[in-house]
Amino acid sequence: MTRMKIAVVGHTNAGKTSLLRTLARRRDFGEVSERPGTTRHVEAIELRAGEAAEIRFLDTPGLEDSVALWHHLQHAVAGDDRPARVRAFLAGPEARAAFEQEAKVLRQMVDADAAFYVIDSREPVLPKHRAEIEILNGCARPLMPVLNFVRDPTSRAEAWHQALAAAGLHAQTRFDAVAPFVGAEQQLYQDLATLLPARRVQLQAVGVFLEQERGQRREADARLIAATLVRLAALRRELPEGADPAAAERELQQLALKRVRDAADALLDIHGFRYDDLLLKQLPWQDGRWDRDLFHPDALLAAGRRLGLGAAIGASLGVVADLAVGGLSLGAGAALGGALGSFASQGWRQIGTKIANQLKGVRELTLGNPLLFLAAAQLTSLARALERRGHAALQTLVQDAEVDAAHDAALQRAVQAIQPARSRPEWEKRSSEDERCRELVAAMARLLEPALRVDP
Amino acid sequence: MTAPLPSSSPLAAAAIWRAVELIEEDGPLDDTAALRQAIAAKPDDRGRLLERARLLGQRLGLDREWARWRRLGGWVLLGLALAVAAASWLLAQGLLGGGRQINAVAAFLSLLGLHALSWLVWLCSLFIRWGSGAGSGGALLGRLALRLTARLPLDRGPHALQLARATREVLVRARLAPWVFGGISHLAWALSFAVLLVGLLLGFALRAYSLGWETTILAPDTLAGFVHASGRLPALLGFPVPDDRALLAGANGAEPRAWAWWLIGSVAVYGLGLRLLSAACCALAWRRGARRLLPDLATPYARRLLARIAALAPVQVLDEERPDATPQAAARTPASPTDGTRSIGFELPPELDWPGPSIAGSQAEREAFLQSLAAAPPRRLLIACNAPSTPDRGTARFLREAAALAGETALLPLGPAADAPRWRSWLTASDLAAIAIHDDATRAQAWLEAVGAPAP
Repeated sequence: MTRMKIAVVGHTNAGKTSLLRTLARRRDFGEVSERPGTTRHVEAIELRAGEAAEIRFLDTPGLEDSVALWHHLQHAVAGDDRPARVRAFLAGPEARAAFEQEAKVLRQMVDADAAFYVIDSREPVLPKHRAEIEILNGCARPLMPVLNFVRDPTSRAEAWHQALAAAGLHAQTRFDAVAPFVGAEQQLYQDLATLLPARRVQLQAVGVFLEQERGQRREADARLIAATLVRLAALRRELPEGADPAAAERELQQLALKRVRDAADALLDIHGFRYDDLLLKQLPWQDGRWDRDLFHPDALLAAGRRLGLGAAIGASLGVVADLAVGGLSLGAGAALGGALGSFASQGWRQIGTKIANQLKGVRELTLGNPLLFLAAAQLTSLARALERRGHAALQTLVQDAEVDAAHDAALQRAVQAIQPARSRPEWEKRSSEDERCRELVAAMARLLEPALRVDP
Repeated sequence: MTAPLPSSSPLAAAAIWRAVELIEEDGPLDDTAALRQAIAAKPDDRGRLLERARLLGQRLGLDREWARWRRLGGWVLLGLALAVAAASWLLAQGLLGGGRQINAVAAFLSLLGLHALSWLVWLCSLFIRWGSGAGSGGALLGRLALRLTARLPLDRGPHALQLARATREVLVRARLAPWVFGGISHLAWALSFAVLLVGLLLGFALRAYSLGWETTILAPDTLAGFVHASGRLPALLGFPVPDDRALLAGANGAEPRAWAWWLIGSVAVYGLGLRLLSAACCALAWRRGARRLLPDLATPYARRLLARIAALAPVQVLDEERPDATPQAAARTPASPTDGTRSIGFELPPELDWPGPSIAGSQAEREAFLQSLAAAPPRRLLIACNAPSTPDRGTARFLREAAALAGETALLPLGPAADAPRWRSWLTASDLAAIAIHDDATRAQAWLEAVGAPAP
C-alpha cells in the first residue's frame, strides 16, 4: 500500500478545512470560522480506507495575495517553464517574506500527488481567482476544482465552470462541505480517479470502503434503535393496590425518556458528533422539548393515527395499564394481539381491563404502541439527519418537527413486530441473555433499516 | 501465574472482546490509555478494537481467567469422560445383572444406546434449530464442560461468568457452537469409550463369561441378521463375527470368544471410532469457521468505539505559522495632495450597482489606478468593496498602497448583508485601522463630497 498525498488548496475561507472535516468525519479538525485566514499553517490528516488505500490530506492556508504573487512569478523569477519558476520562487527570499503564506501552499502542491482546489462558488470570478488558477496550474500537478456552496442560491457555478474550462481545467466536481449530498464523497473520489489513472484502483477501494462504512453505521443505528424499542416494549411496572397511578405513570415516563435520550446520545457517538459540543446543545432531547413531545397527548394522538389505530383511543396513550392475574402474565395475549393487528391488541387490552376490574387482580403499567411508534420515528429521523450532516456544519441541528410520513410503513411494521417483547419483562435489561430477545432485535433492525436510508 | 493468553487464539480474542462489551454495559471503562496503545499497535480498525479489549481484559483479569480455563479444561473433560464411562458401565451392569451369564445383544444396546441417542441429537442440532435458538442443543456435555470450568472455584476471577457467557455467545454468533461444544462432547465420549474398552478387555481377558443371546418374541433370524450387519464394519478391522453355529447356539454360550470380540469390536467402531471421527469433523469445521469469530463492526458498541478512534487520529502541523513575516507596501512618492476626491469600486461582483468607476483587481488595473493616485493624490478616497467576500491579503495590499496616496481613505462594503463589523475587525487586525468604514452608500457619498465645503 502506498500513500497518496492530496493537498487541499484554494482562496482564503473557501472551505478547505470544512471539506476535510467532512471527508475525515472529524468535527474537531482544524479551525473553521467565518474569519478569513483561520488556517495559517499546514495540517496533515490521514484517511485510511481499510487495507487498500491510505490518503494523506494536507490542509493549507489560503492563497490570499495571488495577483501580486502571479506578477512576481512572471516578472521577478527566472525559469524555463512555469514549474521551474515556482521552484525558483520557493527557493527565493520572497517565499519567506511577502509571500510566506502562499509559499506554504505551493511547497505542498509541488510535493503532492494531486490537489483539490476548493472554490467558494458564491464568489464572482475575479482577476485574483484567475491569478490563483494560473499559479496552481503552474505547479504542474493534477488539479481537481471542487465547487463548494453550490446549493447556495447565490452560487455562480456556471461562471466558474467557464472560467475553469478556459484555464484548461475541464474536470470539475461539486461538493457542499457543510451540507454534503448523499454520495458526494463517492463522486469526489471517482472524479479524482479520472485525474489520477495510476491511482484508480486505490481510489475505487476508498469508494468501496466509504460505502461499507456507511452501511455499517446504518446497521449499527438500526440495531441500537431496535434494542431500545424492545427494551421500551418490555418495560412493565406493577401498580400496587392503592398507589397513585399518576405518580407511577410519571415514573415510567421518566424511565422511558431516559432510555430514548441515551439512545439519541449513542447515535451521536456512532456518527462522530459530540453532545458536549456547544453547537449541538440545542437538540430536542437535551433542552427538554422531547419531555414535552414524547408524552404530549396531541403528539401521541397523531402518532396513534399514523400507526393506524384510529382517532378514538383513550386519553392515556403513553402509558397503558396492563393486567396480570396472580403473577401469570397475560402478555402472551398482547403478543397474539400484535400479530393479529393493532386493533386486536387495543381491543384485548380493553377487555383485559374489564376483567381486571372484575377480578381485582394486579394492574401493571406498560408503554403504549403510539409511544413506541413516536420514539421510533424520532430516533430514526435523528439517525437520518446525522448521516446527512457534514462534520463541518456549524449551525444547530434542527430536527424536523413536521411529520415525515414516507417511513411510516416501515415503522408500523416494526411496532407490530415488537409486540412479543411485551410479554417478556426480563428483556428490559440492557442485553438479555435470551437468544429470542437477540433474534427479535435483529428482526426489528432489519425492519427499521429502510427507514434509515438517506435519499440522495 | 502462567503466561498471558496467546493473542493468536481467535476464540480467546473474540470472547474477551465480547466479555469487555458485556462488562462495559454497566458503564464504560477508563480506556484512554488502552485506546492510545491500541491505535499505536495496530493499523486496522478490527485489530485496534481487539487490542483495546485485550488490554482492558488484562486489567480486568480476563486473560488470567482464560489461562485458568486452559489449565482446568483438560481435567474437567477427563472428569466428565469418567462420569460418562461410569454411567454407561453402571447401566450395563444393571442390565446384565452382574452374573457371569451375559446377553451379548443386550450388552451391545446398553453400552452403545445412550451414546447413539446423544450422537443423533447432536447430528440433528447441526441441521435443525431448536426452539430456544441456542444452536448447541445436542452438545450437552460440551456446554456442561464450559459451565463447570467457569464455575470451578479454584482461583476463579471476578468476571468468570461474564467470560463464559461471552464465549458461548461468540460461538453461537459464529455458528460454531454445535461444532465446538459437539467436539468437546465427542472427546469426552471418546475418552469414556477408551476407558470402557480397557475395562471390557480386562474383564474378558481375566474372567470367563458365558455370552449368548436370548429372546422371547423376536425370531432368531432377526437377531442373526442384526449381528451379521453390525459385525460387518468391525470385521473390516479384523474383529471376528460370531458364525452361524454360535448364533444358533443361543443362550448356551457355546462360543463366548466370538461374542466377546464382536462386542469389543462394536464398541471400538461404533463407539470410540464414531466419536473420534465426529471430533475430527468438528475440528475441521472449527478450523474453517474460526474466521467468523472476528468481531462484528456493525454493532452500536463497535461503531461508537470506532468513531472515538477516528477522533483520536493525530493531526500533524507541518509548516508552522511564522508571525514575523510582515507585509510591506511598495514605496511610492506621491505628488503634493490636491483637494480632489476619488472613489473606486474594487473587486465588485457584476450585478452590484455601483455608479462610479470600478476595477476588477488585475495587476494592470491596480497599477494604473495607483499611478493615477500618485499623480494627483486626492484629499479623500472612497473604496467600495463586496461585503460578502472574504477580505484577503491581496485586498490589504491594495488598500495599504492606495491609502498611502490619499489624505483620508474610507472603505464601503457593499452588498445585501453589509458586514461592516467583520471588515472593521479585519482592518484593525491588518494594521489598517486608519481606514474608516462606512456601512451606507449615501452617507459615504456625503462624506466624500463634504471635503469641498470647508475647503477654502
